[in-house]
Amino acid sequence: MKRSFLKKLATGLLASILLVGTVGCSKASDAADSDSSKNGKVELKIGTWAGAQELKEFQAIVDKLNKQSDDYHLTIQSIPADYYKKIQTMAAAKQAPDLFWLSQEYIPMYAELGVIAPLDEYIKGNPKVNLNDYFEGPLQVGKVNGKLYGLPWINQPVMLYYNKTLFEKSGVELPKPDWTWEDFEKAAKALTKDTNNDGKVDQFGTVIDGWPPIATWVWTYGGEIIDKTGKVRIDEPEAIEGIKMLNKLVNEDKVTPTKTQAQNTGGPEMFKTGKVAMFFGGAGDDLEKQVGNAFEVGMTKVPHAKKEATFSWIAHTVMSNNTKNKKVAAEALIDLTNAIHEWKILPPTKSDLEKVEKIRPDKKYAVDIIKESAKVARGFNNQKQQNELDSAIWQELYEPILLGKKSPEKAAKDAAKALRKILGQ
Amino acid sequence: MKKLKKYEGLLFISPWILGFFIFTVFPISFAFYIGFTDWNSFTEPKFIGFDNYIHLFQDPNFLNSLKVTVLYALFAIPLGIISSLTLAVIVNVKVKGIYFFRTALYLPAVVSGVSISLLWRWILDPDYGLINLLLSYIGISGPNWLGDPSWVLPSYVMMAIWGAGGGMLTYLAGLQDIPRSLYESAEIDGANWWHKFRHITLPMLSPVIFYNLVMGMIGSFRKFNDAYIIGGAENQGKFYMVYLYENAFNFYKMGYATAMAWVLFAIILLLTLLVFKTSPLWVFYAGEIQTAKSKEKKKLGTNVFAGSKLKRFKGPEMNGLKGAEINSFKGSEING
Repeated sequence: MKRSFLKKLATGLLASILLVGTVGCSKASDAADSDSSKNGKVELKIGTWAGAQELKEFQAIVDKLNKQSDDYHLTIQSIPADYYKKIQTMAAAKQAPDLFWLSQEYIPMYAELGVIAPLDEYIKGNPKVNLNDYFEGPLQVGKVNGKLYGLPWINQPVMLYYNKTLFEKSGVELPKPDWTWEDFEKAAKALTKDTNNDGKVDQFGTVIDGWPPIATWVWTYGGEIIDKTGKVRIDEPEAIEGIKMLNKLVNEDKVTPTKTQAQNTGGPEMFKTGKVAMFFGGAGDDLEKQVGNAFEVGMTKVPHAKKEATFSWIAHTVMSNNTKNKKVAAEALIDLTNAIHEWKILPPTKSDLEKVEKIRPDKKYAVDIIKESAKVARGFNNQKQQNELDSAIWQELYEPILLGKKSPEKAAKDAAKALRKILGQ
Repeated sequence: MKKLKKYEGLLFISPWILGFFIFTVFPISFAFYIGFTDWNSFTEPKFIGFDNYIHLFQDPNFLNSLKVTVLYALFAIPLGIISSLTLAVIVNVKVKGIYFFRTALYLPAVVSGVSISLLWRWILDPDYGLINLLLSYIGISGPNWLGDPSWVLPSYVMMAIWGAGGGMLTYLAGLQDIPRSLYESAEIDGANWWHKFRHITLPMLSPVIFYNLVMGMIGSFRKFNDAYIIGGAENQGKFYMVYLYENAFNFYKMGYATAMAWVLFAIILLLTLLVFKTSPLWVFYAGEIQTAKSKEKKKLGTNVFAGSKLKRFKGPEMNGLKGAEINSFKGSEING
């Protein structure tokens, strides 16, 4: 009797252990399979946030590479929503894709934590990569402690889009590439008005609602938020000069809709519907297409003060430190990066810039000015705690300025304090 | 054999027990440890003792999120209870078409939280929103709801009250469980509506109120979905859970976030215990005989009787929460 009970107990326990066990096992065998496929190629996964149409286009690129290569076979792992959260958990479980996309602000942290591997040894002497061909800005954000952790596949500088029709109708001189912030301010003021005389301003010179980044002003006035060495410099006079101009545009000239207004309607929407005359947008934004025939869109460089600079949205392809065959993975990364340069604008390389016209015929009218901007486009000097820093800048500096709650000096001082605390300086 | 049968049961539930240990007990104990570490979730956790907990109370953002959440709870819970109770009393009448109103009022509780949040973001828009449009008809220029820091909290409280229909259902069920005879005998004694409400309805509903109070407290402190989507100016919409999430998934400070979770757990536990402890003073159960003596005993509280403590904790749990819920749901099904 006793024996039969024990037997049952043992069977039950065994059954439940097996149940749990199979889940773990299936994972393990998956991993073993993925090392190399039947035809001897190394199986690699590429993590991407591309979804829907973008994913289809990306798949076509990957298919082509797979056909060409004898060494690797790439499989796309599409994570269109909550990309960074999923990458985080995958990396924590040492299951990160062999290659994946990272936006600039994540690179230093992933590098310092050893999640991604440096590429220098695979790039050096590789005929497929010429680092000198890359623009300094997009390449720079991939460098952490002197090592290169990724290759940029996109470099989208912020440009100044304008509603040409509205400018001409109002008799205001069209924006020019050599504009200073004062020129910009003058035009914005002239274009901010109450068109239907109901006592409410319904047409604005520009829209500033947390976008473009505060660096747009800080950098053009010769300042830095955080410099290359990681030192906080947002409270230095040059940076404050820039913040003062922002403050003037928002709170004195009032050439932008309020933050709530802009955020609820959306800055791009306000531009597309002709409520805003000048809009800071990425060079690759398809504003022209969306505007259609409603009005003529123009594009020029972001205004400057002491120097020319513009923030650029940059993303890299990086390589996981857990990938088994780094040499082949790096090879795939390089091929993939080169292939994306024919797909997305702006390519971060000087030689590929000629392709903009071909990739996106709708940008033909602005190719020259985009090329000009690419020269001065750059990313942040990203730190390991970049997300936290961005959050502090918004909280202590940008939002209070937009709401008219702090003077530029006070905002800069508070932000500097918060940033230094986060960085432990 | 009979003895063994007893263990067979355990055997059959062993998958569940294992699951419980693997997916509940282990993560909780692990989280307890993580609370004492500096962990970015990628590399090994580094033990730092109480540092997380010490930093928490020096972190202005943490204190702000705690303040926002407590203030919200302070307003949203009582107002929520009052509004759902009022709604329940109103729809507890026998008129034609009352089902329509009951359904309409309950509807907000059915819609997914995310879509509600998106809807509210539009309703609260200062220029194109519904509320300010209506206000403008009567000559009031409405506030900048989510854009003005001082209006953020009232906006959230308003949203919470809009969802009062969910609570209404439990009160309605409770109301229909109150025996008619109690009102009849009170009427014979000449009681007016207020007397009846105050001395019959409220005491008879107290288990349901108790239930809603506890659930409301837990819900308010764990507020996340709409706050995450809607936000609010100057961090006034940054509730406790939102800041916790930020730390864990944006700042990669998993240890710090876990410490926050434990502090939240302690707060909720303390408050719930407090409510449970005071419940004998104001929660009444049908069938409980109230005498001068029993009242006296209640006022003396739990200090006198160690045993009564146990009883009282069990009491509301078994009778109040589950009992009232089950009974009253049944009641409502049958009656209305």
